[in-house]
Amino acid sequence: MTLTVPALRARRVRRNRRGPVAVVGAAVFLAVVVVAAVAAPLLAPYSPDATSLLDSLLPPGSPGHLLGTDSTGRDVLSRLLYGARLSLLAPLGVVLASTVLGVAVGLVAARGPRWADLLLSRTMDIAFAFPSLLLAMLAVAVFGAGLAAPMVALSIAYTPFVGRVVRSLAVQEGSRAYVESYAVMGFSTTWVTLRHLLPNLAPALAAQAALAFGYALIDLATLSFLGLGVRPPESDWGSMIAQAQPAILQGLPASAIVPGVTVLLTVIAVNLLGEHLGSSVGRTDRERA
Amino acid sequence: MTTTVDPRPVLEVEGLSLSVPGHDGPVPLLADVGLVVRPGETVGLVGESGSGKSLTIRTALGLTPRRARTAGRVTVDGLDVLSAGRGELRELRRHTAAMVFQDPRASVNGSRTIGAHLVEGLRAGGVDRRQARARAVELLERVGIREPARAMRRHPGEFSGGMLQRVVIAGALSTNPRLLLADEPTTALDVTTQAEVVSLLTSMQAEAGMGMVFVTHDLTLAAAVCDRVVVMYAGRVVEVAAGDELFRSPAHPYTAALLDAHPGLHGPRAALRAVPGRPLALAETPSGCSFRDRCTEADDACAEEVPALRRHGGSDAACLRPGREAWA
Repeated sequence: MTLTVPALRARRVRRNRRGPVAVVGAAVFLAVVVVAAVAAPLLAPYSPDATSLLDSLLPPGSPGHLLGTDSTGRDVLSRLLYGARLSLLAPLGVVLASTVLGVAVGLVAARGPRWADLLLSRTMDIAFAFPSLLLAMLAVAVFGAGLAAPMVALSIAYTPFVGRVVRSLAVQEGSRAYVESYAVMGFSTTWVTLRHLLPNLAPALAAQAALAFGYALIDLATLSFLGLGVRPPESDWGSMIAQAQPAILQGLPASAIVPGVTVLLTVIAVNLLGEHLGSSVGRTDRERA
Repeated sequence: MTTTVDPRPVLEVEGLSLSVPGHDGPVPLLADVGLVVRPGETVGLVGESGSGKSLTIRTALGLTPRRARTAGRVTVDGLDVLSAGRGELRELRRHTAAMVFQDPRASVNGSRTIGAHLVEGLRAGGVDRRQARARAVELLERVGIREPARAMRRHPGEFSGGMLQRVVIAGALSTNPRLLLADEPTTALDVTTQAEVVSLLTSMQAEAGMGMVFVTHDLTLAAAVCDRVVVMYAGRVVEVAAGDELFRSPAHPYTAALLDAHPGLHGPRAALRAVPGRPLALAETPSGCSFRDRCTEADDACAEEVPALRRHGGSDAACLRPGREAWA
């Protein structure tokens, strides 16, 4: 008992380094972003596409335009709120698709026959060699601009990241004695994998998914910035930055900075939450052992 | 031993040899292992770590190591395990035989409730959900868990080791198996809990008329609990005897050495005599008797061939000069 107490305390101190304030802040910020995206029509003071050349390039804080206007006089706040929808939904789709694919690939590699592991693991190694963004651009080149092609391409590109994590976690979890004891009870490998292994991996998967969401958000914003993602009249945060480029040259960067900072804060918040999830996974794992 | 009717054994191992591929040729792990368990009988399987006792009972469930080569015959309740297909093995594990492991903490999924664990096993045996719940509560009560209905909602982490081993035993017995394989079921528990778990196992076994294999490295415990004790050394059976007989007059020098190495509560205090050398794996044993280079009685004759099991008093021993009276 006396031995474990200092050890416990040391661990707690280490975990609290990324304080709860940051995690709570991140959660609150993300909640606000999600509410903004859902309730954009209610919250936005203007239509996101309403132009007014007389009011173009107003600085943030101007009367009637809280975050200013862009070079065609569109209200930046309204565009930010509406843009949140695609900016969040598209990476969400990528994360869901790559998680489902990655889990399938990882579990088969970890628990299936040896040849399947060889095949899948080597395929993932090769897939790692292609930068995901490059793959997405290639997809755009082949299938044309728009969100669908890069989303599919990114989903495939992220699958090996998820797959490799799932494989190593499943191998580790599969070596626990309880897995053998269920086999002894006459349960098939598939049953034990889906009913016992997968639920036990879920927390780690959630952490992984949060990190992937951040990457996907940046990648998709990058594509939109390059004009390869969202097509006008639709817009997301990436295309807002792209459209603000002429204004930056005129020395009025506000309409680019606002969506840029939003992307940055969202990604940081998602990563903080993901890291927090990951550390609580480690904690429950230690308690179980 | 000699009853008029000899009921059909639930487990019969005959001439079982097993080897796994190694860097330079196959590595033998078991050689010519024999074992018979009849319904209602408890057979102890005793030996040091690596003597092949766990491997033997795992083989009885078809759990051989990857790419292992086997020879001989293993029959569980009429099923030839070594040539059984996947489906037959699944049926065997679900209905005919059950296993209790050393560490209860490790043998259940820690993130699910006890109830979920028991119900899952019962459902796999073809019981419907509501009946499975009722039966699980009943089983928990029978193995001595207080407030079984509430215990169903608890997680393994909320039980002590002994209590959790009771839960595991409840799970193993839930499908009314004909054969129970207990792989050092008390080794991970403290001594008082050990006694409770052992008496629970034996009473459940007697009640259900199951055959039980009790694997342990504690010779005294085996002698107390089992009808018959099979002593293994380096992948071979060296002695088979009734529990009390073995304790009173060990016929094989290895059995005697094991008993001498065990501290006793009674009698004059004497220094413990450790067995010289270390336990060997089958692959590194000398020619002839596996035990001969650790045996104080060995001579040139012991090197010639592996001694067969021969009757000596109440025992069958694989020794050329069995029985203490033959030793210097």
